Amino acid sequence: MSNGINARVIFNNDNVKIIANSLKFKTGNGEIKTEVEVFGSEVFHCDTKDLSTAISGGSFDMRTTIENYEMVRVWINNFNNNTVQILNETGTLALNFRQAKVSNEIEFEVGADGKFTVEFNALPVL
Amino acid sequence: MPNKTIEYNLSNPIKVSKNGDFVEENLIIITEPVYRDIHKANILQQQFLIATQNITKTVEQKEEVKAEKELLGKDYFSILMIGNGNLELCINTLKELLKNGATIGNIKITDTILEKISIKDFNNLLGEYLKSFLLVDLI
Repeated sequence: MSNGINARVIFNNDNVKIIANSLKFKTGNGEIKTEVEVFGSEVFHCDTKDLSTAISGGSFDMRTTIENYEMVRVWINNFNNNTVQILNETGTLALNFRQAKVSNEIEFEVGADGKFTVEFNALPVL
Repeated sequence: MPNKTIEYNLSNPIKVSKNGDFVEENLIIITEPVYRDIHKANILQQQFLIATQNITKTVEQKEEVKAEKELLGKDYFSILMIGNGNLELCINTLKELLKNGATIGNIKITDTILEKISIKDFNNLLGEYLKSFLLVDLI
């Protein structure tokens, strides 16, 4: 039996309260493109890493509150001078995203159950 | 006049987020608490005084014991501990005080930064805080 990941998000040294089950991330390894070459009936793979896709990032949802709105405004104003960490409870998962920036134009839903989505991208995770 | 500050060098540097990267820092600058934090500061003072009173009660000799050298931050923490001061209360109170008035590498101290500080450093910080800001005029 394997366990799912219960992770928390830290944006610039601050804990972030996100809506449960909304976190997604990618580590920015870059896509591998494979070309097939043949020599008679022998097959060879020619693999190339497409570095233009080496962008890490992720997304999560937050409640629309004044506190969260102000927090996100700071991240946006920081442009690419943010860091994001994704950690699980046991410390076995620790992803560090450097030079992170909020990449989407955020649409804040207003109301009792208003929420919004933050998307970010960053340098590949080391 | 700017508030008094003290510097504390962590024996175990920690990584903090700074300008989009993770950098190692060890210099904590703590600003003297102001009226905004009077209740928290008083809690620490009170716990220390309770601890010193408890120690005095256990000492059989009534002779006054004078310290031969100046006490360090860690000595203040030891007094708090031996004298049964409420350590949980003191630590939680210090966390709040540091979040209101301390930086590391010019970055405001937050919960996630505090989590990374070693136990030894945090205990020493508690002692230094008491020594430098709260007990100056009391003992």
